[in-house]
Amino acid sequence: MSWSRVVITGAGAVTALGVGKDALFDGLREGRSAFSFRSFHHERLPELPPLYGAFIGEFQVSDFLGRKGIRSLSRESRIFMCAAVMACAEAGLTPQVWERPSVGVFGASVLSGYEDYLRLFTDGLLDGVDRINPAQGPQTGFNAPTSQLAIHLGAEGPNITLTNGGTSSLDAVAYAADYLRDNRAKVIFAGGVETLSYFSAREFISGGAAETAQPPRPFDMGRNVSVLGEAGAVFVLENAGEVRARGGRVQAEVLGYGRAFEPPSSLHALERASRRAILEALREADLEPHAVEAVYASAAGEREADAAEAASLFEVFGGRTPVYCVKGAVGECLGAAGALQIAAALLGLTQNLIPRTLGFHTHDPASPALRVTTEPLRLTPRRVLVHALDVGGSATALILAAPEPL
Amino acid sequence: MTGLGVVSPIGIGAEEFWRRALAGSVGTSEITQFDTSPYQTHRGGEVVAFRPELYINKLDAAGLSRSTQFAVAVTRMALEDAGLLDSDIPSERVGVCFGIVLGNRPSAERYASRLCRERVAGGVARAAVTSHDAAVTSRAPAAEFGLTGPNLVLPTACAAGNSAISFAMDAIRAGRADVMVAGGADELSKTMFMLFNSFRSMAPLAVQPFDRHRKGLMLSEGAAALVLESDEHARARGARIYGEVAGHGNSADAYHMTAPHPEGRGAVRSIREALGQAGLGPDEVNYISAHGTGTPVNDLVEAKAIHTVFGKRVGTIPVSSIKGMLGHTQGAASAIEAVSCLLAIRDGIVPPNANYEEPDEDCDLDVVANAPRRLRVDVALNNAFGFGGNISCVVFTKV
Amino acid sequence: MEHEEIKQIVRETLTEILELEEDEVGDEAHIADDLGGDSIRKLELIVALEKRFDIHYAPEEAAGMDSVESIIQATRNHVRSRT
Repeated sequence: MSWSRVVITGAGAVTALGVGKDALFDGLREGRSAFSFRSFHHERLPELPPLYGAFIGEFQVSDFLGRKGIRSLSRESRIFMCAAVMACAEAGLTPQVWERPSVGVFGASVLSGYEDYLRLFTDGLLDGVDRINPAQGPQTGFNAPTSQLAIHLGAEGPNITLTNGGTSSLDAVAYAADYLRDNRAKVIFAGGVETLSYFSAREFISGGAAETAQPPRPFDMGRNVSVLGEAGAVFVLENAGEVRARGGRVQAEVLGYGRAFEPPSSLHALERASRRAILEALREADLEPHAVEAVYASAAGEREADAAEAASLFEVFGGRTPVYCVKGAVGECLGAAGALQIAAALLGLTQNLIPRTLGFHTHDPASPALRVTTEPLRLTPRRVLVHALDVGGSATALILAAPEPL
Repeated sequence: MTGLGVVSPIGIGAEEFWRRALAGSVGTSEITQFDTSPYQTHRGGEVVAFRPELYINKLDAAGLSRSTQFAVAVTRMALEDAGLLDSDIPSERVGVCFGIVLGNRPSAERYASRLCRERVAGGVARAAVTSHDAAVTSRAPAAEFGLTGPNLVLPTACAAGNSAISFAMDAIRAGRADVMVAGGADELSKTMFMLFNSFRSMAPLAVQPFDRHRKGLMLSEGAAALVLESDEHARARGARIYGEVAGHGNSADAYHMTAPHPEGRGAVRSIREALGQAGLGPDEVNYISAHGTGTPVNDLVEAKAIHTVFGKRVGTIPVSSIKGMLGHTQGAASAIEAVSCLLAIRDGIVPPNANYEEPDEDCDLDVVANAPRRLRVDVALNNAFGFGGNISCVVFTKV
Repeated sequence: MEHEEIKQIVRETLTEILELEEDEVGDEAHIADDLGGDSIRKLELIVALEKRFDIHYAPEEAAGMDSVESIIQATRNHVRSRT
């Protein structure tokens, strides 16, 4: 198969560290984390204890999306769309002039539509089914953010939503890259979004996923559980030839990816999935492990998943490659997690900085010793690996390269 | 395409489904799974006599939602049909992807309704959280059968089955897998019933695709899985081949969340792209398996799109929607319809468009009215349109 | 409830749902042709008014409510017949 080069030309993010990629970068650079308690309400159902996590603050959505047409949008649709609008601006693209069928949207989420789904259901139970607001219906679908963005931007090309736990948004970027390589689209907005709300918060509070009110500790000896986060992050991916033609600026190039699954019967199974995905990505990018100069890891402070990842990273890369875990700062953002890891990688590739991993203090003697960053590293990696591992058994690895002359 | 599996309101197993589809069996009836008295309509398509224990050995079937049980069942059937169950091909070269509309979400309805009834404070059991994780729809079949290749779920609304087939085709073409199990699965849900009730778009008595007096769709449940293999892989092991997935087209209307573009903009482009990828022209299509939900607007726009693409040839291409018999099986719909296309290619007969009483002059198509039609099918087009303007069309060819 | 009050509530609900300014909504205006309301918005409007006034439009009646005037008229009939 012919191998068109695929590049990232724009990034937009809404995270607990603020609105915009710059707010995220500033937060990461300054070593800020954003964990707090938030209470989620339902007008007619019992109150919940506050949930500890990394939450997106209030912001003026209409600044990005205009005032009309946003009233019925779910929160995740709004956040995904705002991130995409920022990415579009950064890439220097103008929706009014692009060739609409050549522009696609690939979005990922684990929980999108979940709140609206259960709100519609409980409204029906509490008020009677003939009192349901039909305008809320379309927001119950997983694909609402992706579809709403396509409508907003007039992106008539391929429109894909996928869901695959913590690897979801890496999978979206990877699949988008395949489409661009085959010249089936010229521009694709790819990323993920995750928000929390009354019904999902209720589950996570009782579920034990966030019982401790402590920031997460990726790879640390004292780690216990991950802490959930909210985020939306979207990238503009383009065919390199098109970028050259329009004089666009490249932030990174997608060199390859790998994807694997193992039934999650044991820590070894997770480790195997992780290793296979990484080796596959290296093979596709035609790189030896030592060519990878930084790893943007999946670790969120979970006991098992972090141990499995540490084992596979050590086996492939040894203990000298710097490893950074963005989830120490922004939490476990599920379907948006991989996208935030890519954003962190762009900070390295475009601004020469690998931040300190928040929450990592003491190496876990039960795991091989990785070089998890304990202070900001001023270096310019040329090839980096972004790796996502989900305890459900899925792993995806993506290799990015610093911009080179096209 | 070397293996097929179906769970549907008109039968379990691909052959049983096909026999009853050709007989024009209508599988929609009064819903028994929940009380429909508060709603304007009361009918839908339920899978009856489904016994998960027949298909699920390794995993705990009771811990899986109904739609995931369907997904495991059709995966078993498709692998068995392909001669790949317990085969010695490397598991990491075999992947799984399913499409869904809502997937496991109905599992959360139970606790939400308890919450409304009892207003209990505090949380729910951890099991309730993982039970509605959509990713399980593809992970469970992979875990049951030890398939460790690419694995993910595509929730692209009602286009999801075709989206999954497209993803599988791409994965094999790019050399990421030798074999993919692709399909769709969904179960009936009260929430979806409430939603379509609020749209006032469900038919009270019968689903009548393309009929002048069509009144709407009916919600149904089911699943289908198809085994895709690279040509070399299938031939090397002497597999029986139903047909080839020759091309797919995926695009967005980018118009409205529920209404299709009035001229079927995305549908036209998806059909053309699928044909283009297959290296075929509109003149070579023998059969169109329509999305045909039976709502006034969907069928009208689909007919327009078919007219735009096929022009003068419209009168000579048989079109049928099997949703008159099955209702709308949501994420499973286009996967089941894909099975139907492949069996039509195999047997030289296309399934009927049931409940068709009076032609609609605005949907001027060669509708396969009420009885199957003998016909050599070399090229079949499978249409799927979803909410959000997600559109996916796939072309199957005879090998 | 007075005629003017019903009219005012209908107009407020309508401007909110269709995201319009008060002065953009003439009494003669057609929901779809003049105000850009699609079928879902119209259903949303109907459900919102049913909720607000605790009434129920018959399906045929709802189908015919396609202008501001006809909506006000139908709503008034229901509210009156109730009292």
